[in-house]
Amino acid sequence: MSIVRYRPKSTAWWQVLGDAGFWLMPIASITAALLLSLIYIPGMPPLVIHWPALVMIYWACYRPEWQPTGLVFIFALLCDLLSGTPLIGITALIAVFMTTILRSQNNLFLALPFWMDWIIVSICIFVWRGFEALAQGLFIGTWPHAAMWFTSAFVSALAFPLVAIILSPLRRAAFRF
Amino acid sequence: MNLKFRQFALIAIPLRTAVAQVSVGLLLLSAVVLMLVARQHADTFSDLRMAAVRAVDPVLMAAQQPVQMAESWYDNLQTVAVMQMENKALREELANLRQWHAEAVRLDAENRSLRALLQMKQPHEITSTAGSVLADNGTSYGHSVVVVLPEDFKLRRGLVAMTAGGMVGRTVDVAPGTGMARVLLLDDPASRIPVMLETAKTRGILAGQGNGGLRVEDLPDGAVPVVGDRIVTAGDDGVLPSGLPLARVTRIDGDRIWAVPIAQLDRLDWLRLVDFGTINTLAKPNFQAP
Repeated sequence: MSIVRYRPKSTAWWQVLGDAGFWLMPIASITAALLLSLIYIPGMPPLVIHWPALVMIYWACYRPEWQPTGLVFIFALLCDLLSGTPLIGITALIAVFMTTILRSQNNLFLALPFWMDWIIVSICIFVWRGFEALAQGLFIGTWPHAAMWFTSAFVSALAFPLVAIILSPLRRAAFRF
Repeated sequence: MNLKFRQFALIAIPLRTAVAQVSVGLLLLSAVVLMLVARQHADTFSDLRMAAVRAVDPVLMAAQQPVQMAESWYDNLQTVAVMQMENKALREELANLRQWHAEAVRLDAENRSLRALLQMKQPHEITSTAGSVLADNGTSYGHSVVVVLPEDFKLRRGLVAMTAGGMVGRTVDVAPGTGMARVLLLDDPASRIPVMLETAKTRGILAGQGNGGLRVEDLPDGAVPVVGDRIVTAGDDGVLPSGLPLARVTRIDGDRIWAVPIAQLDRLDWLRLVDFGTINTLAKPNFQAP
């Protein structure tokens, strides 16, 4: 009986990354989302997709152990500083609050079909935008239009499947060894 | 060994859970404290904000390259017919502008001679510079842009940002010596500018609505605004000079007057920052609660 030597399967670059950089993936993806939201595109209507929020929500739902709450706080604060929002700390507050709730429901998100996850995430985005509008109204004294709140939340919610498609291979990377 | 591990686990696991729960509470509390402190020390946080923008400036510049390339390709795709039509329109506009230029030169000469006659001094020295738009506000209901200017230009808060169409906003955060400034655009909900309706000669406040639209507020009783009327700066605040074109009245709904900016706020490749030399500066960033 001959001894068959173990040969590891060839792995793609993201699989290696998945094993080595649990923290790197949320960091890289949130940074990319932050930059995407800051790039100035002439002619774009003022309908802003909240890319950093979508990415933070994604990791909180599907891979909470890769995205510690401290990391969420730091990136949300960076988001506040770079975006010029008048209330520094508001995104940090909302992001920590929302991701803490979502990360506790991780098993539910993994069990449910994607379309149901999408509905829950959409509700979260509406609540997120609602909190922002509420804080702006209470602290700054100017209440954003309901139409603007709805449109920005709706457009962001529509963009969630795109975020899921991009981040899904990275999330599953660790299972493929 | 096994017993030691169990004893350790008996303490470590609940401790870890407690730390995790407390850390969330601490982070939430930190965020609230930060919001309150940032409101009280707006100047310090304004500097911090600009320092953060400066830190990511090279990355943003690099990220902007594909957008600029795409824009350039789009411009190149314009057909010859469209260009010919534009050319014709531009020639007509040029001829018209030449007439106005001649008139302006004549009026300037007349103005100078009259000033000399009255021994009148120029009240303020006007300086200006142009810069490119680097980044956009994308995460809140606000609307502001970051502009990169020549480093030697003396930046301060309250400078007027203009395009060919008129005024588009004011600088609220500046990083002197670096040539970077954040311009709060007219349609930002925090933007409030004392204005005058050009035809009706009525004064009010132009407030941003956050969605590209504007609203004229605080008009006196009996004011008769007209759709299409131009809205210009009133110059009441001592920060802005009077007569800068801002917007045009589009709709009147009872005592609510809606307007749109004359300049296209969603197409700001370049901005001219003008220092009219009026009152020194805004005391605080103007997005603070009124």
